[in-house]
Amino acid sequence: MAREKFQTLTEPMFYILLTLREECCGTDVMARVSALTHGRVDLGPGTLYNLLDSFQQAEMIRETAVEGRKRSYLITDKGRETLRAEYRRLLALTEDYKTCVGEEDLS
Amino acid sequence: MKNVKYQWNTFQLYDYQRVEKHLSAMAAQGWRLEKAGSTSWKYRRAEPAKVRYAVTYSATASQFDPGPTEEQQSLAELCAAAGWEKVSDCLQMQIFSTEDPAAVPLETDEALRLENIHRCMRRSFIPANIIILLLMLFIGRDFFQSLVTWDLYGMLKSNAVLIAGTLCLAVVLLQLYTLAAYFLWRRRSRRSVEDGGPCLPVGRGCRWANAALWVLLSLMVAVFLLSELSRGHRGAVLYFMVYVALLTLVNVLIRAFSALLRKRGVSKTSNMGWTVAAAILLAFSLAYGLVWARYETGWFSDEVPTEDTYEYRGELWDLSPRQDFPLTLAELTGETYGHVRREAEDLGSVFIPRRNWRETALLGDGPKVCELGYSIWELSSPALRRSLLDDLLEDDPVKFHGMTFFTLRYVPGNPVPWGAEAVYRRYHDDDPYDSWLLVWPGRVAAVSLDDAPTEEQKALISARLAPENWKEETR
Repeated sequence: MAREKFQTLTEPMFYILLTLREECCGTDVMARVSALTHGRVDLGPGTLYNLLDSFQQAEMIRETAVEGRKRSYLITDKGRETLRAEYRRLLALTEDYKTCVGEEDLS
Repeated sequence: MKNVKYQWNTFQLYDYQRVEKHLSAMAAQGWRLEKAGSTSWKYRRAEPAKVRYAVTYSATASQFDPGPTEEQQSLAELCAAAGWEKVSDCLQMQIFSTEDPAAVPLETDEALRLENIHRCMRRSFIPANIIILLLMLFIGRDFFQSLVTWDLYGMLKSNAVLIAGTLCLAVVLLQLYTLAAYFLWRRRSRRSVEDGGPCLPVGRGCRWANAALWVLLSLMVAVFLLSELSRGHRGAVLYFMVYVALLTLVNVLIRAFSALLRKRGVSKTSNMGWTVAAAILLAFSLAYGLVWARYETGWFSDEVPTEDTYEYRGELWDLSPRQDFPLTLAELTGETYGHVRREAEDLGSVFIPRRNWRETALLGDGPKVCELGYSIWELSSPALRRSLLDDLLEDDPVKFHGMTFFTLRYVPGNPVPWGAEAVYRRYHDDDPYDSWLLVWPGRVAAVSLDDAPTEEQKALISARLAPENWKEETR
């Protein structure tokens, strides 16, 4: 529920942290996630707003600049570690799949 | 043709699905939401169109904010980039619209939406409901105590207690139901979200319960006013009307004051502080003003007009004594009284009517003052009579600063001379007083005299105060 401790990440959480490896504002995050996933992951502005707030409170991202209403963010070391941990978890899942099913059955 | 329309806000804060559907339906009929207030929502006429509405929540938003907070502005900026335009906000509810059918939904993570809604509910909805619940429990505490102990007389002894108690009970039940409905919705929605589904629709129960409360309130007020009018209590009715009018005025003034502070850019904290201070000041002024007006002026009085009285020895006496007294001092004592004042008052409720009579008289031209007082309760069932007697016959300690001076109590006596089913005499500790409680089937009377009555006087009192069917049965 809501992954308050961010032990595992949902797709929106994962892609937000991934895009914030480079400093950018919320609007850019939406555009980059959409481009990166070729429109597969839709990031609603309400969801993005709340996740940015939660990540900030969890010190996984930090606000870097405020220009009028535009706020920019950048991932922190804690955020990078969470992202790496999620990547390792996904790799482990992939490896488990390969072990059980093999590489041939990907159609 | 009017271009503006208002509707009562009957939406629960967490019922975003119904809000979205309702606003889209209104837009299709040619009405666009312009302003969502906590009480009413304002719509403006427009070309009918297919408009998508979406609701999201900002936990930090407050009705005391002088304008959109930085968080709200950031949210609006993000939404604008996604093709959503901010329409209005109501407490923490942020309402957006778009005519682009392909725009990305505002919320794309149901678990996060549910968590955010709960954060907002914890900040406003839940505390507000609990405060109202506790307030109603406090205001109606005597009624609730009577209800728990099934003290029928305690519940039904006066219209005011009965109506206020019933309304407090209804509000308590509504608050409990509202809170339970929310937590139930949250639990079900959480299960749905954990299974990969959306948050669930909110049931209509709370809206029906709210509507039922308003119907009950209207009915109770109508019963109260008609009952008071039928007993000639025009002063009480006027008092009630003035009270409701002033209460409404206070409410309007507090809202206007808060709105003025917002317009002047006063910060949220200052606005809250000043508004609460103004509310307390106005509420106390209203309460004390009405109490003063009730006891210090004759505006709400149902007493006999002064032109029917005259002054003698510093007191007012009746020019023409009221004739509707079942028993008078002159009849009881056979004496002649030069100056008489009679007062009668209807008390009790529609279920337990009670009437008080009191006669004060000067023996001859004075200075000896004589008094006769009696109250009669009409009781339609043995259970009501039992409950009334339980209340009246209970020992009543008279205390001052925690120290008991004496105890008022009733001691059973011989009912035969009184022509009653049962008789009790009033005692202050062990000292007998000339006050009696007379009990008949369907009626109880409390009689207060100046001296111990003779056997003839007891018989006369019984003949005048006992119910007719009892007199026929015992004749």
